[in-house]
Order: sequence, then structure tokens, then C-alpha cells
Amino acid sequence: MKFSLSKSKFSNCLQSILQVVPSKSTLPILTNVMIEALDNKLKISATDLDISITVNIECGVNKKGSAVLPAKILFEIIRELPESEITVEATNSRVEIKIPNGSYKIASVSPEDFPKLPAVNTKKEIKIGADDLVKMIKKTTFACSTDETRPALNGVLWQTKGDRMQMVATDGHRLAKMSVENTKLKGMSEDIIIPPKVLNLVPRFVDGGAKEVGVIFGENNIIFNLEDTILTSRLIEGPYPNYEQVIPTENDKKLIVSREELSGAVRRVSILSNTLTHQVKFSIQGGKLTLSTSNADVGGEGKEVISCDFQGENIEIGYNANYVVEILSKMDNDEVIFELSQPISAGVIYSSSMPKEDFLCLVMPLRLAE
Amino acid sequence: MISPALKPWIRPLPERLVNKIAAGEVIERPAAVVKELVENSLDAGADRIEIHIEKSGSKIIKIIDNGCGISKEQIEIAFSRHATSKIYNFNDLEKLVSYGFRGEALPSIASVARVRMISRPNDAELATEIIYEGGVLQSKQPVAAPPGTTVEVENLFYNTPARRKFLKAEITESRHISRLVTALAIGRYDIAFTFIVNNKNIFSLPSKEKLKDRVTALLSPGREFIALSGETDEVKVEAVIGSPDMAQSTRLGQYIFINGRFIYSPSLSHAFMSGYGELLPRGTYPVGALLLRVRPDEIDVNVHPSKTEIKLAREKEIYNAVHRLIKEALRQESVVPVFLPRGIGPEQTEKKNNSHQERFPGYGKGKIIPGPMSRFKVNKDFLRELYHPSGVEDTSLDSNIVRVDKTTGEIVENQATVSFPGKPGASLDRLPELPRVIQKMPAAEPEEISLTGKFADLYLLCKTGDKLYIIDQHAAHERILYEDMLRRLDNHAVVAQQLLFPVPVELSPEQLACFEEFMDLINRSGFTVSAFGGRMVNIEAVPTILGRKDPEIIIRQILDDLAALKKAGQDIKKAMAQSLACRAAVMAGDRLSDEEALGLVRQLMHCENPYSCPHGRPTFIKVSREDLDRQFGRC
Repeated sequence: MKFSLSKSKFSNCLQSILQVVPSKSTLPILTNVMIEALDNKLKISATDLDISITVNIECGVNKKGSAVLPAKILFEIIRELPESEITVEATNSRVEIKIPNGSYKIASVSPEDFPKLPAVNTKKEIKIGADDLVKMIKKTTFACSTDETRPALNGVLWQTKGDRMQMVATDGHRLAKMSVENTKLKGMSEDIIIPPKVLNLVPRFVDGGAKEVGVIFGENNIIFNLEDTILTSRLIEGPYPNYEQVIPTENDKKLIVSREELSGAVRRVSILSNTLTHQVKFSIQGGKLTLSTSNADVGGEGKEVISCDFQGENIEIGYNANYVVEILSKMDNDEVIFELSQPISAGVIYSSSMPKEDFLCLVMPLRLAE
Repeated sequence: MISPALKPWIRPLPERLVNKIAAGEVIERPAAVVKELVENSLDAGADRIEIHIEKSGSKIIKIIDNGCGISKEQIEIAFSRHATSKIYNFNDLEKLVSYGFRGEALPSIASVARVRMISRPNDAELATEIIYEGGVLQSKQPVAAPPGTTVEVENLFYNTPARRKFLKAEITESRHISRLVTALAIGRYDIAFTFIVNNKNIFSLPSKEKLKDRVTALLSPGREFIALSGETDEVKVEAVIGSPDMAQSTRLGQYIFINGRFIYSPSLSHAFMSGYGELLPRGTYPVGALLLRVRPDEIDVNVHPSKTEIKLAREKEIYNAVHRLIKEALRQESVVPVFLPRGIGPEQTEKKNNSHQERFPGYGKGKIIPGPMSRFKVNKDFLRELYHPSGVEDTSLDSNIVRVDKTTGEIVENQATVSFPGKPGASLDRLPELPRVIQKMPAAEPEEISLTGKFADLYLLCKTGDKLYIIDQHAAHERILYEDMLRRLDNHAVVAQQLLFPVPVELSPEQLACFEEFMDLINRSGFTVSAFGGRMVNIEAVPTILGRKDPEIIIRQILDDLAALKKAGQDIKKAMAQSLACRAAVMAGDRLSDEEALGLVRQLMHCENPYSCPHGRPTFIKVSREDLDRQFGRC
């Protein structure tokens, strides 16, 4: 194997790969990257067995071949090199990195030992607008559960049906659902559950670049074809809970309030909330929303009143301030709408600029102590 | 001097009185009636048994079987004392294969209740109905009925008001019955059991089931159990055991049988647990069923009329066999890598242990768990030793100490601070075992305490002045949450998180009985749990302190905890706070940031009793400069 390319190109490529390489693993080979020199291109791959990444870059290849090198060490060497053309050559079981005034040698692990990455069958690929995909990801993954006892909730449900698709995430306390139109689905109907880690990587590879990305819904995995980069992730096994039946449709109380004002007030008031429950009380009466909290541990109390537009009977309802603040940060417009019913039932939150059919969040209240 | 006219005559008691007295021994509580009657059905060769209970057995206990029945000539004899079809002479007792043999049950029950028996042998055309009330025959007549025997016990203890008064709350009695019926159904998994309480079907199990299926259905539906079997010269073992993560804080999830008889045996229960070794978290007990078969002449069941305690001729061998088999099975299942600390393996000889104890009298006894292969001499002492390691309350130490009650964690005596209880002359190669006495922390301002490090993601090292404190993060957090929870329970201020997806849970019969008993308390503690029909309950809200932990697992653990702590006589509200605190606290292995760790220590210092966790384990130990100096031989 022998190839050469510019330092910056090599370094950038390794940097993106490194996001997938586990820093420590019970399988030591996973801390390596696989480098394959093909016709005029270099293919660099890494995997943690859940997520795999392959980056293709064009470069001059003098001699085809492959090597498996420790990812972190390789990256650190390349990053520190001055900008220049770098030549990499494999001799016996070592790889030599040649620069104009010196060289570095690293032992290569046998490429046969590196795990095989899933094959990409582009026939089943569908095209998705990059903006839509990124938006769906950024508005839902935050609500995933991190508790490992209910694996399905640790992922994002991606549903395609007719010419719409949507992502849903929930941890059982709150839920986020974002839906977009896609006319290229050709009647595809799939429900898959994706680990949020791979979804959170996707935006980094499409930022400002491609208009469309290719996605392949596999049997056990999902593949994102992002021009030069291919991201693969195993799927989480379902079933996903029936979220549709918990989205209330007949909440009779409607609160319209400024997102900025509410978010700021909740954040401030919650400083004095109980550190365990983060409970903030919402008391809505006519055109006034009173946020209050108290904390016996520090003997503190906080209260703010903001004006709002409210239809329905007065209500007092408790929320975990963190949940509310996080949901508010996902709303696009300054005007947000809460549809409420009972102090113990789910509230629906959406922004006035986007119909709730497109993007909505649910939050379950905290039952207020007597 | 008593006048001759009043002089008491020595004479045999009338039979009715004898039966009533015997009833006191055999028929302790409604569950005992169920046990005796179902065992009669089993001895009669029934393969289908239906058990009806109303008002936890005090109103009606009805057992319907399809066994061999009793002919009309014999039926009256069945109600006379020491009449039995099961043994004829004392030699038979040596090789007992049936459940009953004393011939006490029926007359005893009949003497303290109204009993109606309808029985028809297969070859008879008509059944005989016989009714006894308070031990007196009321009627006997032929009736039409299917083959088999139905026994209906009504108004149990109606004529022994004292006994009736001593019965526990209805729900406690029904929990005893649930556990017993569960045991019977496991012990005879080949037989179809139907269990109906207050007209509600608790379970219906088919005949000829596999042991694994039956245990799963009864103990933890939906969980994966491990089936194992094996045989030695002494014992044949068939078992279905739960994985270590299903372990409970009580032994109530264990069902142990010898020759089909459900028994209570601390030694076998210990063998069961010790087979798990390090796989089990401390203070938890594995769940599952052990069915042992030994030669009938090697077992003595005639120790107590209720036959739950037995004597085994070769207890040591059986202990070893059970221990080894479970250990092997778990290793094959490779649940978690097995770790054997030094001193547990069979190669550790008795001599070594003894000599060790001679050198360090009072130390380390509790620490070295005797190798089950090598030592099993006086099993009672051995077990006591295991459960209550000696040396933990060594009174030869300084008297200025705080004593902590091991079961409640409350301070018993409260005295001033003292130095580290190191013994003069203690060996240098081994730190003396830290006794279960804790120094009171100086009345230092909490702000003076600083964190110097963390060890093993469990111990926080802190210092004030020249004292070093080693704090157990789990125990400390448990203490903080426990006191907070108690306050909140008192003030009705437990905050609950409503769940988006209510969680349906199928409880075991015992858990259901416990749930029904403590439903109010559970729902005041931040849960919203409602009965859903059958053994199902629905969880709609959980206390916020539990975060995002799986509500199903939590509710099961809490029900088990409550049952156990209630049994141990613990105040039930404290039991609830204790259970919640334990479930919500950071665990050993949870990595805390420095800020979190320091926050935890400060909160601990504000607790009413910072010295021990609610279970009575210490939250911290103190090491002074002098102690270390002494250990290093500097003074």
C-alpha cells in the first residue's frame, strides 16, 4: 500500500472518523481505523459495532492495499504535522508516514481481523431533503430515554407512511414528534427505531453541503449515504409504544404565551426549585400565568407573573422545569401554544408558526403535593 | 387443702377437647387448613385441584379434587383422631412417601369449624355428604356428585374466639394462603391448580406443565428463568432459578421442597444463595424453586405437626450438592463473570481458618465465609455466624461510641467522639476489622469538610482537620433520601411524575396481596397504581425521586420490600421510605462529579442521623492521623 495526499485533507477526514471510534473497548481492534487504498481513492472506516462510518477521499494511490492503525495515535500525528503532502507506505507489518523532513512508523494490525462493515445496497435507497432530515433529528432526539431498562425508548422512531414521514422520541415523561412531507417515498411503509447517537452525527456531515441525502432502511440497520461519507447503525428492536393513543386531541384549555418570556421566567424560577423534582407550578388565571416554586432545603421561594392569552377554566399544574425549558428551545417561533386538560394529564405544546400536525411536544405534569 | 369433693380427678380428656387442643397445634391459621386439605387431595391421587377462599379463609375454604374419594363406610373414620390410610406401623414412618400421616388434620379442622365433605370413590354410584360442626357429626346422607372429594370449611375458629382474635389482618392471612398455594402449585407442577379468591380467579394452571413454565407463570411472568437438574448419591435436584438481577430483599421468592413437601430450611436456603456467590448484591436473595428428592428414610418430617421443618440425615452432602449445582448452572449461563474472593474456595482448609482465628481472636470471623465444601459442622451456629457475623459489637472497645441498631439504623446510644478503635498489638499486615460502631462526627461546620478523593466509584474520601472520613456514597444518599421521604410522607408532599405510557404489571399472587394491603400507602407515596383486574395493576405515576427507573421493576421491588419489612415488624411508613430511598439512591459504581460528591457529604451532615443508612449499615468510617501513625508503627 502506498498513497499520498495533503495533510489537511487527511486530518479532517480522520477527525470525523474519530467520532465513531470508541476511546476504550473490550475489543481492542475497535480503537483502530481501517485504511484501504483503492483506485485513486482512499477508504477509511471505523466502527464500534453499533455504528460504522466510512469516508471516501480522492487521492493519488501508487500501490493498492490496506492497513489497520490505532485511530487516536494516527490522528494526533497527522494533526500536528505542518501542512504538506504526506506519503503513507506499508512495509511488512508496519506503516510509514513520510514527510519532507522525517518519518513516523506505526505497526499495523492485520486487516483480516477488522470487523466487516455492512454492505451498502443502493437499490433500496430513498432520497430525503437534507434540511428536512436535520430538522427532524434536531427536534426529536433530545426526548429519548437514557434508561436502559426500556430499550425501545432509547431510540427515535422513524415512520414512513404514504407521502409523509415522521420521527418520534419519548422517555415516558415527555414526547417530541416531527413530521414532514416526502413525495419520493413511493408508498413505502416502515417503522424503525434508531439509536440517537447516529442521528446526532448526521447533521455534522450534511451541514451546508448536500441538498439531499440517501437513506437505506435495512432489515437490521439503517444506512445514511452522505456523499463521501457512509454512516451505518444497527437498529433497536421494537415494539415502540403506541404513542398515537397518548396524544390528547380534546384538551379544552389553550394557553398562548411568548416563548422567550416563558422560557426566561421558568429558568429563573427553577433555580429555587427542589433539586430533585425541579418542580415549577403554573397557575393560570385569566390573562395571567404565575410561575412559582419553593424549596424547603434552602428556605427559598420564587415567583414571576407573565401575561398570556388563555381560554378555559383556571388551572394549576406542576411541571419539571427542565422538560419545559428544553421543549421551548425546540420551538421556532416566539409564540407557543399549550393545550391543557387536567393537572394530571398530558399537555400539548407547539408553536404558532408550525401546525401541531408537523411538530408537537407532549409533557406530563408533576402531580402537585397537597 | 382442697376438699375431697373438689379434688381434681386425673382422667383422659374427652376426644372433642383433644381435637380442639390438637387444632391449636396443627391449625395455626387458615393457610394451615388449606395446606392440610390440599395435601389430602394430593395423597388421594388427584390431578386437578380447585381452591376457593373467601374472606382470607375465615369465611370459606373449599377444596375440590378429583382424587380417589372416600367410601361411605370409611368417611366417618376419617374424622376420628389419628385415623389415616397413609401409614400402618412405625416402620412405615421411616419411608414415608405421602404428605400426611398423623391423622390429625381432619378431626382438628372439624373441631374448630363447620366442615362439609362430599366424597365419591370412582366405583361408587353415589357420593356421601357428611357435615361436622365443632367436632360433632351433624348429618350424613347420600348425594349425587362427581367422583372425587369436596371439602368445605366454613367459619373457621368460630368456637375458639381466642384463636380468631389472634389472626392477623385479613390481608396478612390471605398473603400466607397465597404463598402457600403458590408453593403447592410449584411443588406439584404436574397437577392442574385453580386458585380463586373472593370469586376472583388468581390463577388456573394446566396439568402436566413443565416446572420452568410453572415457576415463571407464578413468580415472575415474562422473565427468563434458568432450569437445572442433577443427581448425587444423596439427592436428586430439579430446580428453576431466577437470574441474579431478579434477586429480592427477602427469601419470600424461594420455594424449597423435599420429596414434594414445601419446607422451611435455613440451611438449604443458604445453599441456594451461596451458589450465586458474588453474583448477588448484598442483602438480596435469589428467587426460584428447588425440588429435592432424597430417600424417604433419610428425612424426618415428624419434627413439628405442620411439617414445614424437617431433619435431614445428610444435610451437609445435600447442602454441597445444591450449592455446586447452582454455581455450575450459573457459570454455564455465564450471567456475569464469576469472581471468587480469597477464602471462599474449597481449598481453604478448616485448619487454616481456625489458626487464623486463634491469631486474631475476635477479628475477621465474619469476613471469611466458610468454604461450603470444607466446613459444615454445626449448621445452626454456622448460619447464625453468617447472618450475624460476630465481632461487630466488640465491647472491649472504648465506651465513647455511638451505637446503631442494626435493623433500624437508629442511634441507640449517643456519646462523644473517640479515637479509632484500633487494638494495641494488632497485626501490621492486616487492618483490624472495623466494628459496627461509629464515631460521631465532630460538630464541625459542614463547610469545613473537603473532598480529597473518590475510590472505586463508591467511597468518598473527605477530611476535616486531621480526620479522614471514608463515606459510602450509596449508604449516604440512602440516608438523605430516607429522611427527606419520611418528612414528605408526613406532610403529604411527595411529588409524582405522571407517566405518558401507563405501565401494566402482572403481579405474583403474593405481590398482589401485598399491594391490596398497602394500596393507600403506595398511592400516598407518589405512585398512582390501580388494580386492573386479575393480577394486573396499572402504574400511572411514580415518585419523582425515582427518575426514569423502570416503574415495573420498582413496584415489584417495593412490594417485596414492604412484605419483608412488615414481617420484620418495621413501621410500615418507615418501610416505604426505606424502600424508596434504597431504590432512588446512587448506586455503588455510579460515578459522581466532585460537586455532586461534596453536595452529598454536606447533605449527609445535615441529617438527623448521619451515621447509618436506613438498613443500619454505617454511612462512613473515620480514620485519624493517630490511627494511621499507629498502623505504620510511628508511635
